[in-house]
Amino acid sequence: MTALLQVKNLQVRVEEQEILHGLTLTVNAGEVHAIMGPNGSGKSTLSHVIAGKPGYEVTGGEILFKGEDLLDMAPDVRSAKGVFLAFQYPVEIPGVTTMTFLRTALNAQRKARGEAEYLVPDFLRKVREVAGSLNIPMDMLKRGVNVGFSGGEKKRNEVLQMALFQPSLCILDEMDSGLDIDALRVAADGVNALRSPERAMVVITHYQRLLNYIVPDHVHVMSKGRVVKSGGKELALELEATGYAQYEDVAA
Amino acid sequence: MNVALAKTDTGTALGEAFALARPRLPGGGKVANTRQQAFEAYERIGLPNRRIEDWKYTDLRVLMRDVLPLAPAPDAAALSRAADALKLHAIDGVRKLVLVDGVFAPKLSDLGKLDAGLTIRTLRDVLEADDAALHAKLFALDAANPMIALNSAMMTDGVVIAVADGTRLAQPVHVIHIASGGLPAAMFTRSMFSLGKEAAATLVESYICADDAENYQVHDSMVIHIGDGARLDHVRLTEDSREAFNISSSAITVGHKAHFNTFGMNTGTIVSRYQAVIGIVGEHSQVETNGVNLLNGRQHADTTLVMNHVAPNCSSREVFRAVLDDRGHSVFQGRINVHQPAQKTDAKMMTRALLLSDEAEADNKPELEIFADDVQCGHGATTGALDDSLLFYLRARGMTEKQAQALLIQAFVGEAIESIVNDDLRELAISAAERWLAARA
Amino acid sequence: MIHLGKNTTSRIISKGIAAGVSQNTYRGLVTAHRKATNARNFTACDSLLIGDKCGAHTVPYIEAKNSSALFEHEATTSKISEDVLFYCVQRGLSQEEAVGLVVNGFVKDVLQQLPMEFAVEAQKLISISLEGSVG
Repeated sequence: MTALLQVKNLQVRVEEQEILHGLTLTVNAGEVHAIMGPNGSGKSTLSHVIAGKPGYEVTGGEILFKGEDLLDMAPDVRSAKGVFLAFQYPVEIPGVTTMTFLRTALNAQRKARGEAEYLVPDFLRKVREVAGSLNIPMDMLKRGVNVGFSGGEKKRNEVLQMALFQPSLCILDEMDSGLDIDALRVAADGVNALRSPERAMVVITHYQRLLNYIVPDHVHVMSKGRVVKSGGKELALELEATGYAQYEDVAA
Repeated sequence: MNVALAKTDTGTALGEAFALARPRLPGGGKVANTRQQAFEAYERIGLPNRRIEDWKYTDLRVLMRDVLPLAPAPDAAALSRAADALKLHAIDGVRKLVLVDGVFAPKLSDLGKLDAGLTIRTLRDVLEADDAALHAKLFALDAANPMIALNSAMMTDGVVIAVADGTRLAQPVHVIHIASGGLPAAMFTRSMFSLGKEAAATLVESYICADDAENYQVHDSMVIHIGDGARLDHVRLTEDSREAFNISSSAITVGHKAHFNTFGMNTGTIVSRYQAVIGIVGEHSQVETNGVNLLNGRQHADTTLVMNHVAPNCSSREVFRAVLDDRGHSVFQGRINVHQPAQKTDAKMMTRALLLSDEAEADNKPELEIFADDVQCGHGATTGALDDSLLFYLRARGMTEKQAQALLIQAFVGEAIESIVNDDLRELAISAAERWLAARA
Repeated sequence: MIHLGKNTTSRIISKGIAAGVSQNTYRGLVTAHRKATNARNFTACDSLLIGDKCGAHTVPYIEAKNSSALFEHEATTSKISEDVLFYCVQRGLSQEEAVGLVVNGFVKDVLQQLPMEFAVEAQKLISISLEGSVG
């Protein structure tokens, strides 16, 4: 069976500076991987490059998604293929209601996949169902995308999109940043509900705390642009006790 | 004065056009004299050029290359082409008043079952009649502005609408200017809309053209009086041909405890200028002006607004948005004048331009002239491209580049469009914006 | 402020105070040419009016000729709020001192950019020119 995501010896530069120096990672369907590491280790860069954010130059290696070369695809094509990045800082888009945004995005993905676009009533029914299951009030969806949302609301909006779009790969970039414990639990419950044998998740985090709620199958430690250690969920606990300092040397 | 400067080829040609047109222009005696004076006032300055501060960004010596002859009165064929164009742009539930090639077309207009308190006359009838007081109001526009002076000299027709005190018109009045697409020609029109005390109305102005109309020039003007306690909602949609030239001026006076809400959108023309002077002469009045220019190709559109706060305790809001693709060039000049007696004025102006191409240009000149100290006045102006991080977010959610851009552009202009109170008219503006976006994709 | 080179940033802070019968005018051009990619400008242009016979005039020209230019312009005109003056006077300042305090706060953004000796000088000048203008 082909792995869902294969990152092979990935090298990435941002404005002359190499951030990732040959990163390798394999994620199979049904698995939850955690990527941990200190600030500046390249965790977020990896998530951005997988999603296709402009401004990064890939100088070596490859990323295969369901066996296809991801690096050649535009960000919207990757999205339609099932790559979903939950942003660390979801942007605010004044003037575009969340509802309009969700419908436009979902239909664009469906169209790209050659599926029929949702008509408004069907779409509304679907959103109501998904929002209801996440305890998101419909009023929130009538506001501009993320405009005036609290940190918790923004992350719930990301989870809502994940639930609505049903991607096969979810990358959660520092999902815990800016959340208190209650908000974190609500968001994590939403994510856990989406765990399935067909779907993989890559959870990027600095702290072990998030992994109490979203329990990973595999944990990777990144330092200075490489994966320096991989293990099971116990690796996260070990890190919490010992810190990242020991790995700085490994990478050097 | 620079009489010599006016005698460029265009200037001379305009003199000839005026001489040729005179026998056809309505109004004898005094009106003819006033026209002559107006033309002389025009000739003293000639076509405005960039050396005149108000025309710094719209140099008509450069932009208005030819002088077109006055459009002939429309014949049956022209009226039938206009009727076809009208079908595409008709809005339900409005009273249509149609001008074809600058001449009122009764057959295309809705003149039946006039509401009590509503009177509609043509400019031609008014100028031919002996009504000095009304003539004075029609000629009250600023003669120092050469394009207004030219319009005063050459105007052939228009509609003169009056809404009596206390009358609340349920049906919007829709004045439609249609270019029928005969030989290249110029049309000169002036209209007037007077709203009595405690009256309320909605006025829509559209500029459209027949399918094959290309090169023509619209010179229009509008005088608006809003009585005490009255409310006027006003929408202007310029959808002229992509080769057309449109210079429109308006002078609005707002009375006591009155409310004026105006919205303008321009997607057509190659060169256009809309210049409006709003005088708030009564206390406790409120004015909102909103505008959108959607330009591409080599379109040049200039919006010049002067807000005169003469009376105390009034508020004004101006929101202007420009979206520019290709070599589109948008000009926004907004001046807020707060006169010394206008204490407690609350005036705000915000202009934003979105550049989609490196060859587009946005010029903003938001001015404040304040002579009263107890005021809250401010303006803001921003110019920039679409936000990359927003675009990436939308693309990461599956939208194509064009779709993501379209959504953000709609939101950008939506802020101005939302000011339209009437649902049908707001939809009309939204669909005009959508047409522009669809044509881009 | 003419942006000709790439990746250039400029900032204009203009604070105008008009008291008595004076008139204050700001006139400024900000432009980015076709090739001046990533030009950035921020302009803030605030006027403070003291008395009802003075005037403030703001005439900015903002010309953007390429899409990567990002220009922001803000202008406000206001008077010294009666509430603020009363608050200061209630705390023991004279009317004149209170105005001076507010004015100094108003121009702080600009003065704090100056070297120390100029800043002190400028502050003195402001208090001299305000003398007798309040009342």
